[in-house]
Amino acid sequence: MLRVSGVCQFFFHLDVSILYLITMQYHRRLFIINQKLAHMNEQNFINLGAWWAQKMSSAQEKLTAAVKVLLNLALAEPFLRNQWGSQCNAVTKQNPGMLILQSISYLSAIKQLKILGASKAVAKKLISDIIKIKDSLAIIENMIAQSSMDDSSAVVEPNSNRLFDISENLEDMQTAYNRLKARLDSNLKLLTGHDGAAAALIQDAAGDEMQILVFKCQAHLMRIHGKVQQAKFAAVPFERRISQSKPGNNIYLLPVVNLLILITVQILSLLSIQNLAFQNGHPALSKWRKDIILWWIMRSSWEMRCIFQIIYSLNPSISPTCTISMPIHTCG
Amino acid sequence: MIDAAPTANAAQLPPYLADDNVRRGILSLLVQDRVKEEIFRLQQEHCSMIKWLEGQIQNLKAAIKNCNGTL
Repeated sequence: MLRVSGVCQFFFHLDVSILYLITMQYHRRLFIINQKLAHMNEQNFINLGAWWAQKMSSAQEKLTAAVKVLLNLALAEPFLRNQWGSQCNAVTKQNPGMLILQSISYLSAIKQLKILGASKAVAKKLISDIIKIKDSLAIIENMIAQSSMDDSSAVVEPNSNRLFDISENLEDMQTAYNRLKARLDSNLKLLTGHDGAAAALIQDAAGDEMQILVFKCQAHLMRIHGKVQQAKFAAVPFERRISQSKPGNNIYLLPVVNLLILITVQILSLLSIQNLAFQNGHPALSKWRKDIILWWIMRSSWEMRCIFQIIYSLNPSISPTCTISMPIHTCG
Repeated sequence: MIDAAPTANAAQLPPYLADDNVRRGILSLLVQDRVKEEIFRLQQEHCSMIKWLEGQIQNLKAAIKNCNGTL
């Protein structure tokens, strides 16, 4: 039998002994704590009667003072309770997602149906359907919460399996929503035939609950859409890197450049030898005819055109007509 | 400096805001309710104490009754 001060004292002892309790097994810990509690009970047992008498006398004093004030004010108790209720309602914000359906107890629903003249079997069936609907709603809410947790963990490591699970959950939610809606409609038709007010009340409550679930699903879908967008934007740099490292772009670029440089050097040497031959006569001409003319003559016309186009692209200061006409002129 | 705050008419305010007697009455009513709850808990504890004491007295009587031999 622990008072508040006793509880504080107990927690103080527990705080001290937690250093060696943490290494023990569960039942040993429980045994030690029980021993401490029994010891403290024995110590406090002597003062229990005095404590009880003191608490009772202080409570009686408070009650006497409150009753005296109420008698002096001469206000009715229901009026004061009504004012207190209105004050609570004024300062409390109403929850828009409050489930009104829960406020309708099953016994009151049975009573209403009995008053309306419905049979007991129909009432029981309706109540069982309502219980099933509530269970299904709880399952859907659990699924939404579980999907949200999975979705938050999937941000760190996007995985196709997780997306597949989420899509499966969404499909299940959609089917459950359709099933619930059909069942609610069929049950509401039963009520609508007897009492329009009760049917409207239940319909509004069920509509609110359904709307809440739909909003939750929409928020969940928007969150998934945002995550997919983020994953898509995060994947763009990798795609660029992959496209840049494709075979055919970088692998063959260096040999082609080397080949072009080699061709350019040879053509420049050819042109210089050709100029020397025209200027000085036979020594350079004989060298040109022996070594270089063979390589030059072996090329076909389209290859030559391509080579000079490449040279022109490398050095735009040379005109293509000049570069093409020169070998033709010299070869002739 | 002119006070631009709107002054509410006392007649339009609800009694729990405008009337001091109602405010005091609500406070006393709440105190009365809490004290009644406290007294109920103390009475429950009193009952359990009485039961424990009766059990102890019965145990003592049984021990005295079954006591044989000499001290």
